[in-house]
Amino acid sequence: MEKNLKKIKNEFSAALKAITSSQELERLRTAYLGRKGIVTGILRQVADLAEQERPKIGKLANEIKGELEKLIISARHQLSQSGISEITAGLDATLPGINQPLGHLHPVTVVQQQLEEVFAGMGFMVLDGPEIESEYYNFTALNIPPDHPARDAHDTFWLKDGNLLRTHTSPVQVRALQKHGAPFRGIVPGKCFRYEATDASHETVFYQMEGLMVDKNISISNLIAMMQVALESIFLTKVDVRLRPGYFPFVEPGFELDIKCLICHGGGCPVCKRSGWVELMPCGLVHPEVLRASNVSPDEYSGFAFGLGLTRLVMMKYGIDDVRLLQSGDLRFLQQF
Amino acid sequence: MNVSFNWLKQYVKLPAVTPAEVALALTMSTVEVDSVADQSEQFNDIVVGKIVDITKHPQADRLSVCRVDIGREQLQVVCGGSNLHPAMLVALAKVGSRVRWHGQGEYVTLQKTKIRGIESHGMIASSNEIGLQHLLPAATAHEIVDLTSYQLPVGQPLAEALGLSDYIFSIDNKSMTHRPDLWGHYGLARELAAIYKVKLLTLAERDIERRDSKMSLEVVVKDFDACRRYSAVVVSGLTVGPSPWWLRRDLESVGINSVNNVVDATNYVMMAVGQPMHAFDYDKLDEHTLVVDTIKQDENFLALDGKKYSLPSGTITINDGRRPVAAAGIIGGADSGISKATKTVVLESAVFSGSAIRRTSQRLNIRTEASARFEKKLDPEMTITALNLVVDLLKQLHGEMKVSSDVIDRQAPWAAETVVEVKKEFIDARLGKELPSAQIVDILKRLYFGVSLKKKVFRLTVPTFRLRDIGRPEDIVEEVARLYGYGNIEAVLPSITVQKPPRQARVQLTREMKRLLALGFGYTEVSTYSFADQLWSQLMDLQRNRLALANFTSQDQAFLRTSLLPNLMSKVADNARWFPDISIFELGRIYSKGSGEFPVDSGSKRFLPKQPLHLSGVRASQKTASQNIYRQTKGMLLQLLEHINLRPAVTEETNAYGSAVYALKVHDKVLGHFGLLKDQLAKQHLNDWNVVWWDLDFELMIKYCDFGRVYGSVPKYPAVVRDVAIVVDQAVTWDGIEKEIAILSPLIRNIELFDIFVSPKLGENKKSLAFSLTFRSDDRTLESDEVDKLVKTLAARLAQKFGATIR
Repeated sequence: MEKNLKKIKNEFSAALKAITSSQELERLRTAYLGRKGIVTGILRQVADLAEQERPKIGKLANEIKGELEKLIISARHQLSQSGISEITAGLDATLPGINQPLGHLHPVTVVQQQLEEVFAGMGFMVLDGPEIESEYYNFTALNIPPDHPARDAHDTFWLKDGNLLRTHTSPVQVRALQKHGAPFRGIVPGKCFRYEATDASHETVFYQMEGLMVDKNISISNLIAMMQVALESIFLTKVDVRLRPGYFPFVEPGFELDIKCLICHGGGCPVCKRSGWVELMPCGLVHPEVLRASNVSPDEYSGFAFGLGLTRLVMMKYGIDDVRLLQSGDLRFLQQF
Repeated sequence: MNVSFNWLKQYVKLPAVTPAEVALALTMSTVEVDSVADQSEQFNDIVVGKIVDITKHPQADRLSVCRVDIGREQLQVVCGGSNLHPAMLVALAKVGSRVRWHGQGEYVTLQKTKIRGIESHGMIASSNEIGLQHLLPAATAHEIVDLTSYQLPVGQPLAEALGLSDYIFSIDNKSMTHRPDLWGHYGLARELAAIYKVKLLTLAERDIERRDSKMSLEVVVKDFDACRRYSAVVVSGLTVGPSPWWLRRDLESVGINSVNNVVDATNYVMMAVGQPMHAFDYDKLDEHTLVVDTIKQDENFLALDGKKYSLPSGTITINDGRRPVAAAGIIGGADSGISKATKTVVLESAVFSGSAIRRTSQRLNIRTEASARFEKKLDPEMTITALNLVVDLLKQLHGEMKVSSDVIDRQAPWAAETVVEVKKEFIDARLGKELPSAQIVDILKRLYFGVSLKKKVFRLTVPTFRLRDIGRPEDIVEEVARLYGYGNIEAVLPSITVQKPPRQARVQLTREMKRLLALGFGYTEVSTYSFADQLWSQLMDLQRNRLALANFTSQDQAFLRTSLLPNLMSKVADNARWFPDISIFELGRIYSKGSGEFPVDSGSKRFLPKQPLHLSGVRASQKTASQNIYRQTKGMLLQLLEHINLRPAVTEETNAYGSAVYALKVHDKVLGHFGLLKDQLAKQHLNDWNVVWWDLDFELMIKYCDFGRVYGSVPKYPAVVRDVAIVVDQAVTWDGIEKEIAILSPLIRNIELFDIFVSPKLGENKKSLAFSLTFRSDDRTLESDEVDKLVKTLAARLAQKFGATIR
């Protein structure tokens, strides 16, 4: 038995030398190590041997099996190295890869989905609202009655039927609270419209993301904390925020929220106009009249709202210098994302 | 609004702070200051010079060569001024200063130069060359600034000499529409006094005393809703002329053009305390009467800007009993305005209805400093103060001026005071921090609230200048917080009510469809305008029920899109220059007449126009054959829908712009359509490209989508696969063949068409269809014979039904 095993090994080595292709090698492997292979057969016979011989022969057979396997692996390696394998024959591996068709998401979608994830993680619903909006929801319900000077800040596209294209995502605050009631946490990313001439930094269409949180005893202190957490998740770095007064009729008090400049860390640079701070978003505690218009009792609930300029965030993130590119449909631009 | 730092300092004793620090303090506690401009910067290297001697330029008739003393040295300067004279004091712009050549174009840095061969070390400036054209207007183009009469020290920097070393804050009007009290320097000074805890100086105001014989003036306010208070007084003995230097400078510094020494006085008071005023020429008032009324029908009116206006009904007018002499609060009349001959004026100081002023100002398209202030709710207590101030100022400007009437004061009865009650715990809760009561009291007192505190409730009397923006407890929270400092409030995360997360099918579907299209099927997402591309909307006949805009900046914005496809086609056309193959999609709203799902207002049964979300795409190719992109698109659409467990029926349809149009239906509702773009459109407008379009109703997809999966056990027995090729007439369609195969046996688990082939060798009008059939049983291994038998039966049936022959 022992001799037989050594003979098998020698025969295998001789056969291996004649091998020129990986198919031949595979055939050889099957002949010796396959299910019906020679070595496999011997290993099966070991069980039938006398008890004193069994360990010795078993060990030897396994050793030879291991050696053969090693030889096959190194032969396989050699075959591929020498390039005589017919699989690689004629292949110039340095040729460029062939691209499979892969499309592109719009940069606004990319950033919007990132924001949605951050806020969804904080328990905010993601809502949507009409783009053709009524004067009531766009203005009056938000505590901007007719002839209110704050309407000056909203250059509005009016439809002939008396409705308008929403100038901000804030109307969804009221619609959402009317539908879902309090307590409530939600964001509303969406398209807004501004009646103005376009240039590299002005566009008739822009994207905003409204946020609203209404619960018992929501405070300014909560607003600061929530915004800080959200912004740190968005910018993936530590963010310092500061509030200062800002006037928006649908919040009271109203704020502008600035973040410490992420470029110069507050030292002053062209991005922050040397102030160390970058104005990021308007926000505030929801005005009691807005809560009332939303059928939520301001005596029981309070809340905060914010409006993040999604378009601006996209432009900041990618360094886009012309806002019109976003609506251009120019594939030379869109295929960069 | 422009705000002068020097002007502010007249009203408040600030600690040692820089203008930039003051601007930041206002930004952090009151209103954002957009910028701080150092006024003297533009006069750097411009000094007062004295002409020592003048000689003719040897090479040029109109030029002179001057020697100018600037204190430490004398400079040789070539000058073309027409009014040069020895010992004249001039504004000398030294090398390095910023000037505008001949008062035109951009400012440039002045260099040493040779003019017609003679060296010139600077420039003797005319007023428009150094930005002083408003303050020191020149009579002719070649007149240079003559400072001789100002008796200024030679060599002194010009800014210092003329008192032009101010800092000007710029504040966006839109950021303080709620704070009319901030529309004058005194109001901003009051904020600074509160912020820095320093004393606000009282206005140097003296009550008006009549010393002259009485001139008659009747004032009638017919409508106190339109005019809450109207105060007026007659002054006489005026000499109308230019204002003195300091007044012109102060007004120009804050962006108000100087007019004359009457109008300037009223404007000065407006910029000081925020109360707009008007001066009528007393002698031009027909009946010496002023009637304040709201007109009921349109009236013609010639304004002091020389234009004729038709005043709309609802306009508040001032009339003299015979005709309107002013559109109240907006613009005065031409023939009652101040002229050089004016000797006696009526000074008006009033509070008009903000919304009425705003409506008229918008209708007439006139926005003035006055109307911008009247639009807000002005302090009714300010009218008399403003009159007192302007009379004092006029007296200073006109030595002979006399007060010639009593002060006439008509006002609506109104509550003596407005009181707001706030619980301390409310303030603490909104701040998210407990403040000592004493601190709250201190802050509110600094802001001129009357404060009393009983049982932890603050009873606050609102100062009259804050009636516009203070009326509820929330407003008091803001007052306390902004002066306490938002930066002093620590961030604390809220304790929240945990709720069951809602199903957000729209969000999930949006995400998955966009990802599949872009990252699976090679489409690029585009975002187009909500306005309809007019060319393609017309070509595709997609203009029905469209909604029209009432205002737009270009004709492209006249209508809203009723489909995403025209806009997408237009984008394909735009990109065709750069790419041979284009696959784009958009998810967005389309708009049409008719009631949609969103209500117009609370509790209303009226609804906004339809504006459903659609998901549409176009696949276009210069070279790839129509049938290939058509089949790929069809396959992709069915895969997309399969992903959300929708297996639509596909039925033939027609439309205006497509061929081979099919509808996709689920639950008997049309989920969408797809088809080729009509040949003729593609030929004429898309370079004869092959174009497939598709359009899905995303709202229906949201309604019916299902992301579930049903597990079935992995097959236990092997499948048998047979490839079959048949030859049939070209007119035979696949759907019939497929149906026939499907009903052959339940053992057939998959049918896959893998080759279509047309050749004359097959016979005339014949095609070959090759497909592969997968047979499998759930309870045994199939035998070849059994499968072969089935294939034979199939061949016979196909031969019988479709005349098919097996190849």
